[in-house]
Formats: sequence, C-alpha cells, structure tokens
Amino acid sequence: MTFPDPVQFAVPIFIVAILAEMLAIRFGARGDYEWRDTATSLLMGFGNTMAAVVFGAGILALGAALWEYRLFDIPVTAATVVLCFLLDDLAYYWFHRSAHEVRWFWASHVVHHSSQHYNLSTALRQTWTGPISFSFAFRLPLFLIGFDPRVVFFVGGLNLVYQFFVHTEVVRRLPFGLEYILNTPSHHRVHHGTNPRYLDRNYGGVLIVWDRLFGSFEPEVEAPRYGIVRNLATFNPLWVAVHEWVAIARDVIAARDWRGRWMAVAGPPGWRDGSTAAAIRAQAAPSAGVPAE
Amino acid sequence: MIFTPLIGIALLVAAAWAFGFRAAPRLDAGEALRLAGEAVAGFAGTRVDLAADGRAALVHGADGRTVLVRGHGNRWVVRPVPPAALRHDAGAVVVDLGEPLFPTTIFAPAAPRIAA
Repeated sequence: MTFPDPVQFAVPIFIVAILAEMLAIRFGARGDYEWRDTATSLLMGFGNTMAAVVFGAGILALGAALWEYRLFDIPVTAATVVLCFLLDDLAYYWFHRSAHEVRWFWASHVVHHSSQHYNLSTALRQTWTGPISFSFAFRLPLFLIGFDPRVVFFVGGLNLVYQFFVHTEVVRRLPFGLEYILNTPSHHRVHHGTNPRYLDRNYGGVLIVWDRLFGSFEPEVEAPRYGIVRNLATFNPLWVAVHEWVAIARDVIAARDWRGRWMAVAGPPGWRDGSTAAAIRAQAAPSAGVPAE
Repeated sequence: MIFTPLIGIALLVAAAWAFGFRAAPRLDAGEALRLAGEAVAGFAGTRVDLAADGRAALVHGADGRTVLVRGHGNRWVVRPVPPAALRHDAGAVVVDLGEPLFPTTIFAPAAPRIAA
C-alpha cells in the first residue's frame, strides 16, 4: 500500500484558497492581509520546506530505525490508520503545548506566531529550525508502538493540511456541534491571540477535545489581538527565523548562575523579564476587550 | 525546480499588493493610548507625543514610564522605552532601543502634544 504526501497534493489548493480569501476580504468578508507580511509568511513556508529536504531523510531514517524496535506489529488497515491519526493528534497536542511552555521549543515555534495578521498565509509561516529543536521527538513513540512509518508520516501530513484551513477570520463558527469536537477557526484564533486570557490556550491540531480534557481550552469571547507579546518590527525572514534563538543565547550569556542559564533555555518564554503567560494573565485587569461576534 | 515555489510566492504577494493590502494607517492619540495600554501590562497613558507623519507615538504614563508605538505595515509595534533609550538631538526626540532590526524612531521638534 502506498501513501501519498498530503501536503504536496494540497499546495495548489492552498494557493487558490489564499487568493479566494483575499478576494473575499476585498468584497467585505472579515480579515486582513498586508503584502509584506504575506511575503514573509510565504518565504518562511518556503524555507521550512527546504529545511525538510535537508533534514527529512534523517528523520525518516530515525523513524524507520525505531520501528525496528516496535512493541507491536500493527497491520496497515483503515482502522489502524484512524487510530494512528488520533494518537498523532494527541502527540501533536503535547508537542504544541511544549512549544509554547518551553523556550527551547518556542524558539522554533514562535515563527508561526510572529505575524500580527491571521489569514491563510499565516498558516504557511513556519519555522526553519524545527529539526534543531528536536520537535520531531514527540512523534517518535508512534514508531516504537509499531505504527508503520509510512502511516505515521501520512497522518502527520493530513494533520498539517487540516490546520491550514483554520487560519482564517472569514469563517466565524462551524455548525452541527463541530466546535465541540474539532479545532476550528474560532478556537485557533484564540490560540493566536495575545489577549491575556488567550495566551497559551487551544493547542489542539485537529481535535479540540484534547484541550477540553487537559484544561487548556478557552472559547473565543473577545476579538483576538494577533501576534506575540513582543511583536517584531521587521519583515526580514532571517530575523523572524532566528530572533528567539539569539535572545536565548544573550540570556544564557547574561545569566549569573546555572539556574538562570537553565531557565533561559528550558523555562517558559518570558521567564527572565517576568512576562510569562501566567504572569501576564495575573497582572491583567478584568478584560475590557472587544466582544467577538 | 526550486524556483517554481518562488514564482508562486511572488504571484501571491503581487496579488496582495494589487488587491490593495498595502495601507499605512496613521495614529491618533486615542489609538496610541489604547495600543500602549493593551500591550504593556498595568500601563495607563496620560499624554501622547505623535510623530509628524502619524506613524509613531510616545505615550507617557502616570507612573513615569514611556511607551513607544511604531507603525509596522498596517499594524503597530509597542515597546516600553527605558530612559537610556531616549535622547534629544537638535530639538528632536530620538528613540533608539538598541534592539536588532528595530529602527530608530525620531520625533521631529514641536510634535503635537496631546493630553489624554
């Protein structure tokens, strides 16, 4: 059985969808673009693809090598593909949560949040340094459990493709109770918000049930302010890619003791200057944000 | 082969430009106060110095802190300004945060001063 790369198939759809979203916004739909911001997002996506070319073979080989030590021989059937998809989404939840709560992983993931816009091009604003931060480690247990590596990479691709479509302001809410089960545009807008109540919330990839289960869910009750706590003042893709790594290096050098060095690397983002998500939330007055519609 | 996606990127960026997503909005005092208050926890601005082109503002707080609001595309970037980052040069106020790729911001002499 062969498994296609879902992302490769989806790229033309991504392009058409971005153009359609721009047109919809021009004709009055909710949302916004900025041409240089879009350029940066798309160049980050291009660089991410190049990084995958460079490091992908090694990660594939690692997955295949771990699979040799698998606990179970799991056959490739529709049911096991679905099971793998669900477990991969659970692994994604914990990867994503770590990517926000541990600075080493945040240094890579911050790229995706560095736009003050929230549109389909933001979905493609991806890190160039993911392999360096070992973010792929969260998926490795799937190989050890015994899922076929082709299936693991296939469901991972499906997850990415799904997530592209939640990066929009055009869609307000999904019908039929889907908001309860799925990560939707509304839930993911919250995730990209810097409003104190929205910081470090809604980590789910496809399913939002993980957030409901693990206590990180927040509904969209006020208009999100997109970006990061200290928004960047440049569209330069190279700086977007490395700025948090540079900040980590500076903080490690400036730290007075080993605890400071450790926390600069493995503590929560903002630990050094007291601007962690928890601290900001604690300082914030009761929200007077603009109500979400 | 490597240039194919770059052509696609160029087309999408050109489309964004052609559709008019290239505005550079101007600040007013109320907007500057709101942005500073949202971005800096516990900050309440009382006075605003607007740049002549409306693309930046210095917001002064009741607690003595100063916050810079600076245009970035059609959005704004906000930073607390330490006293050492502020200097006066030939009547102009110069804000140099020393942050990589954060441009120096110059407030020309006699910028309008607006009380909140």
